[in-house]
Amino acid sequence: MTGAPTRTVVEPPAEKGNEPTVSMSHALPPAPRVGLRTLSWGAALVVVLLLAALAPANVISDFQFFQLNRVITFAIAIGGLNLLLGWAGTISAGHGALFGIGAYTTAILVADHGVPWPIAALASLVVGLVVGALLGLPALRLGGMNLGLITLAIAMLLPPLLTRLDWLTGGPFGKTTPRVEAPEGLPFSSPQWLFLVNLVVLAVVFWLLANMLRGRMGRALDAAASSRVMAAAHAIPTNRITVAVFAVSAAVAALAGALFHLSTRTSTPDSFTFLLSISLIAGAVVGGSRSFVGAIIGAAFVVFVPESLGEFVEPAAAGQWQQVVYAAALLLVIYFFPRGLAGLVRQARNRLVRRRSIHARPQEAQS
Amino acid sequence: MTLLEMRGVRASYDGVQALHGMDLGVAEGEMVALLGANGAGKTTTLRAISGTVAVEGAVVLDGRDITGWPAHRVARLAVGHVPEGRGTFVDLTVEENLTLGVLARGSRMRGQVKEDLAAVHDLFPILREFSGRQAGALSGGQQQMLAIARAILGRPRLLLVDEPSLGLAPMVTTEILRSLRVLQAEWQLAVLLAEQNARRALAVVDRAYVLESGRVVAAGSAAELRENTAVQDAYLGAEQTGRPA
Amino acid sequence: MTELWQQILSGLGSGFIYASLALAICLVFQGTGAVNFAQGVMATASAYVAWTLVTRGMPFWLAFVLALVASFIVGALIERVFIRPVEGSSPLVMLTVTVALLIGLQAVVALIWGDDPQQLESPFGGGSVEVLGARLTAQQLGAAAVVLVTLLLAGAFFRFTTLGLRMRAAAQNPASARLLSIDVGRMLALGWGLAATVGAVAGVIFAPTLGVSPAMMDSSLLLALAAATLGGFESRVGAVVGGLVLGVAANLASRYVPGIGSDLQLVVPFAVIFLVLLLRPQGLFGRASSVRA
Repeated sequence: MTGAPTRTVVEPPAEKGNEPTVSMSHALPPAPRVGLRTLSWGAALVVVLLLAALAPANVISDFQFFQLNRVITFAIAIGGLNLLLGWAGTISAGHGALFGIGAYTTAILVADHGVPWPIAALASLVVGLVVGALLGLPALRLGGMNLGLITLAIAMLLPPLLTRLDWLTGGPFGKTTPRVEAPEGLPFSSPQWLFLVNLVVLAVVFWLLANMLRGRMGRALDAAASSRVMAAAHAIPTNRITVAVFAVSAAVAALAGALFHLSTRTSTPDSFTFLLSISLIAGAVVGGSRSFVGAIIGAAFVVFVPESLGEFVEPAAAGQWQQVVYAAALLLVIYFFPRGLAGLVRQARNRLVRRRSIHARPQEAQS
Repeated sequence: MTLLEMRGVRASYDGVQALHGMDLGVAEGEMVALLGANGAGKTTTLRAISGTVAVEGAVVLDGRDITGWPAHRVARLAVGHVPEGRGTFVDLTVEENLTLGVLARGSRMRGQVKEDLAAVHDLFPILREFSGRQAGALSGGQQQMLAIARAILGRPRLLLVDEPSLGLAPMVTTEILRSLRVLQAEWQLAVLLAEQNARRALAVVDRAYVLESGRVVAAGSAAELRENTAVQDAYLGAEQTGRPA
Repeated sequence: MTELWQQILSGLGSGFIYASLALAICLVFQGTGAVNFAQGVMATASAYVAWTLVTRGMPFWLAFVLALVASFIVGALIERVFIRPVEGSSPLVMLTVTVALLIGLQAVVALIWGDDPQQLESPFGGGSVEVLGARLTAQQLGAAAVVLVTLLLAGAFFRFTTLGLRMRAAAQNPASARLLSIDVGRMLALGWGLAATVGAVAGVIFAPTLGVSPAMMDSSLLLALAAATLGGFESRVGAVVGGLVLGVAANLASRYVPGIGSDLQLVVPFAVIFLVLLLRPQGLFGRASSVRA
């Protein structure tokens, strides 16, 4: 991998980058006009990360790619969760479980039935959609807070259920699947290859979600979230929309879980506890629950911050100190950036753009 | 003897300035009206006094500078406030609402409580009749009476009353304003009454200030203002030209 | 029949844990609008304080009282320090703060007292009593009695004292309460302190049954949240009744419904909640308030 000739390194992105570039070219032009500027930033970020994937292994190690894969899969799940938190004005305390359902669906299909992983991942998406619709149904009758607490149930029940159904799930030891290798001839290690796959999925999913939110659905959601009375007055079917959004959000989480499993290769019941659900919510709030860039930032926060302290304290209490620091960081972000860190990025970008617009002209003229 | 004085008070909400240098004074035992259209700054003036909006300038109560004090500390100086929207504790009973008023007087005039309650009940008999009901179940006019009763049971020296007529039938408004006047005289209250309906307000108060865009534009005794043609044209006509229901 | 009665009574026993935690959650929610996910771990810390004092040779009941006092102070401090900066924020922000508190406090508890479960001797001795044909341990009965008394005291406090009235007023309409010279900030801190104390009663008195460990309250917290939902977050009585109902339901289910062991007994409470909420979205005791804009 290390000494890969330059030519072969350049080739794959042209091939594999096909999908994201298509989506980006669609996403970029209309985005600023419609106000979903975050998307263009998401796209830019994707490009940067794509370039990073091409870096030789001594710059970014396989383990770091593995970590990045966790970030991306969490980001996808948080992006889905944002539909509920940021737009539908409701909450899910069970997205960790939906993530887990996705992971297990893929794990079982690949390990026990020899299904190719891309098809298994799609199956996870479908399973997530169905489970989400079933869970979203009570939304026909319930308001935001109650729906959130109903979802608590699946967060709590999934781990013991996974342990119990050992004929299906492998019980407490879970399911392990073989490593996902890059197609023959491509000079990628498994984590690198998955990194590219995950990036493509991230870009496609966020693009689709952004499009969905930009359309009638988004306006209806905004109306419904700001005032159910107003929405009702305008004959917006609040409940039906909430169910639909919940299902989509669940499907996205399940897909993310499938990708997560492909990276970690082993899924056990305790990978998907209530704490995971909580982490996803924390990630959404930290990043900013109305921003897809925020989803990526939040995911990075949730993955990296708890681990950042590991090297500095004695190993015995390391886990606990990590938790303390994680909690403190969460609090600080909320106190100082109650609308999420994505706002910070937006500010920096605005400043940058302003400066560029001042300096850009002469440079353009010269070149 | 001046009880309340405001000098050059400015206040804003979210960067939008609502008061642009407000100057006014209220003497002890005097009933004063703040007149003006919607958005003239009547409510904000009251809120500036009771400490529920951030202000610059000077708010002086009985010789003490209370600018920037938190609301509950201002209230402890015997300032009562009947807020916009009536501030009803909807889940508490009428009786509990009134008890909260009594509690607001702190250690002052503790011995008076029984008589004061009786006086309030005489003035607003409906509150005695409904004393066990949830306050949220009262009608708008009854809630307005409850709000005034609650505030005066705190035995304030200065009572701020925000648009008691809002959303009420004219008959009810008249009744409430008259009751207010009775109490004011009996208990030696100073009252600052914000009211859009200038004609009604001028019928009961001693003096009035006319506000426009967060400033005092006219002031005088009720009689003077009733005669003043400019004020008449601007504000007393309000009743004919369709007031909010 | 005796068997059923026995199961109901022991279900009520654990129901009292959920009831007190649910009441605590409800108090905090009414005051600050935060669903306090840290309520359970706060009770755990109280149990550890009592355990520490008892192992140092202090009589149980003195340790119990000191733990309650400490819990009150810590609860009020937590409100002042951690909740105050976000007072009045969206429920989501509040929720994240309490989640951060949960994560942080759980780690702090483990750092101070370690991960190993500890035993606290029951103050009621090891005997057992027969109640209408069912056999209950003295610990079960005593703990339930203590919690019951606590709940009644809390109820009386809110109903009959002026401080209780002030706290209700501050929770319900803070702006109006301020105009009546109520220091709302102090009332909110008191509310958190009181909630912490109610939770601490459950934590300490049930410690002999639950065992003292960092995770001792985890499943109780979730059931308490469920109970608060069942009762309607606005209703203190509802939260208590909800806790008791869930305790019994969970216990009966794990005993009588085939395929549901103690690991899956949570299925039933949630099925109950699901049904109740479908019929009464505002909860059993919540008021059917119209949508607030």
